[in-house]
Amino acid sequence: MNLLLAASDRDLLLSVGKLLELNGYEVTTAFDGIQVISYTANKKYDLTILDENIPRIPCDRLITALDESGIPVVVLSGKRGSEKQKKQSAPAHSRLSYPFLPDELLAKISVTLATSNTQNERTSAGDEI
Amino acid sequence: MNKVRKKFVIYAMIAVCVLLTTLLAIVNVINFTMVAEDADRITQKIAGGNGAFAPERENSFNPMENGDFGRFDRMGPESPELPYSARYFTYRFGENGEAEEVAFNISAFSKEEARELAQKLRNGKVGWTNTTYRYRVFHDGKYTYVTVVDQGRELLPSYRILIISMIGEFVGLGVCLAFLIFVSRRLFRPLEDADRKQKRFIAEAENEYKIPLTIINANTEVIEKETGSNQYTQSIRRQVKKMTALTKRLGTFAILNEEDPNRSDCDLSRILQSALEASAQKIHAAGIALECDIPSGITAIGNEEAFQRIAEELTENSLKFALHYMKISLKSENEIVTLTAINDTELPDGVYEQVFDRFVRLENAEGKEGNGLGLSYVKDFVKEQNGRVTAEVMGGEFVLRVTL
Repeated sequence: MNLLLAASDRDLLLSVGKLLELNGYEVTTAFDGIQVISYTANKKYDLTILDENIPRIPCDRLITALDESGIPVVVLSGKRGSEKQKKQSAPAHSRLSYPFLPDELLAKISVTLATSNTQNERTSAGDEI
Repeated sequence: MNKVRKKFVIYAMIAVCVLLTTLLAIVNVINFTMVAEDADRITQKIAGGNGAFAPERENSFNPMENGDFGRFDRMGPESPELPYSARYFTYRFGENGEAEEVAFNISAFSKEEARELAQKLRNGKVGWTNTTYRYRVFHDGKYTYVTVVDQGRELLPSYRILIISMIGEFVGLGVCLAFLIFVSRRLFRPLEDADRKQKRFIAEAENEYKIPLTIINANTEVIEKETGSNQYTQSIRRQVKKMTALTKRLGTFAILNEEDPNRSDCDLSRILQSALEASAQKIHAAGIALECDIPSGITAIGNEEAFQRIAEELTENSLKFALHYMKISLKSENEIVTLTAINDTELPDGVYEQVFDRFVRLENAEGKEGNGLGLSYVKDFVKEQNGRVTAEVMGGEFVLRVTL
């Protein structure tokens, strides 16, 4: 499984990236929105974990772009949500609020991947019909 | 802080209003009472003269002497000019009920009207008639006398004082309100600034703690995976857990103290589902059976974050104290939304409102994590959303019910 982990905090990238690797994921890290766009254009990722405060490109625009590419997103949300922040974030099932436990992140990844796979299967079945 | 300022202005205005009204009421009541007393003294004098003023002149008073001018005891009913200035009439009634004029020194009534009025009043004692006329009924054994004195001229200044004092009170209250609003702004500015800084600090502290805690958690997990768990990594986990709880409390405080919280139509079904999803792992790990009845599309007007905290706290509370099972349900009937969290318990039946008090922990909380604050926050949040929350044990089930 290829995951793209995007956040501005390098310590977060280091520790969460390593944690995901130890749990069997192949992880690429990105420091800002431009890197996210650049990486996803060159490689197919199974899931992107995106910090809400990623610099250089607003989070909502990145989510839209990733949605269009068919890459599921887990948004890591830091601040208590203003209405604007909630609107720009991904659906509730793909959001995870800081501070989270490693198990919670791993569970969220599994759920999001499973949901994404189910949706893809339904879409494929619909196309075949 | 705005709420506090508004309350300060309202209470100060109420205090000023009560004070002014009391003062003016006392002044006016005394004023009118004195006019009535003066009128009674006049009618008594008339009664003493059998219906008219005694004709003798009081020689003790000499207006030509300087010392006698401006003496209060020589004014009003004690004035030697009273027999000439009083407007009054007296009728007397014999045993046959025939009215006979004793004195008539008034122009507002015709003699016929005066007789009619006296006839009407003859069974009374003392009082006011036709607004400004004071009457007295007295007897001399043979006749019944009715004297009516015009006090209009004496009452006019009293009415003027009443009207002026009422206008003065309204103007005074208006000026006082403007002054209080102005002063309260200046008075509360330092407090508002301090309050704003405190809230900002709390919100920032809450936010700034979150990512480091996540990183420490992840690092501990990494260390444990690579070198194995030991007492030090376990200690880190325990401390992180405490700090996470502190961060959550800071968040709760920040939400409860928001000046202008966002209020919108919130999807309670989704919020409750999310809270359960977040606790799903813990519920599973604790071996607690979960029963849910959450129809989709149930909404309520309020602050989404407050609803999230209510859902999280209720879920966590039920999970923490459940022995074997917990039930979470949401229903909407007649525009009343009810959120219920149930868990089995060994507590005896009864109402447990004390769980909403701060730092109160029931006997079944022994050995469980927590500080007795969670449900007190639930109560605060529910109150903010204009709802109510109850806690009771019925038939071995602890029932927390939030009604919105």
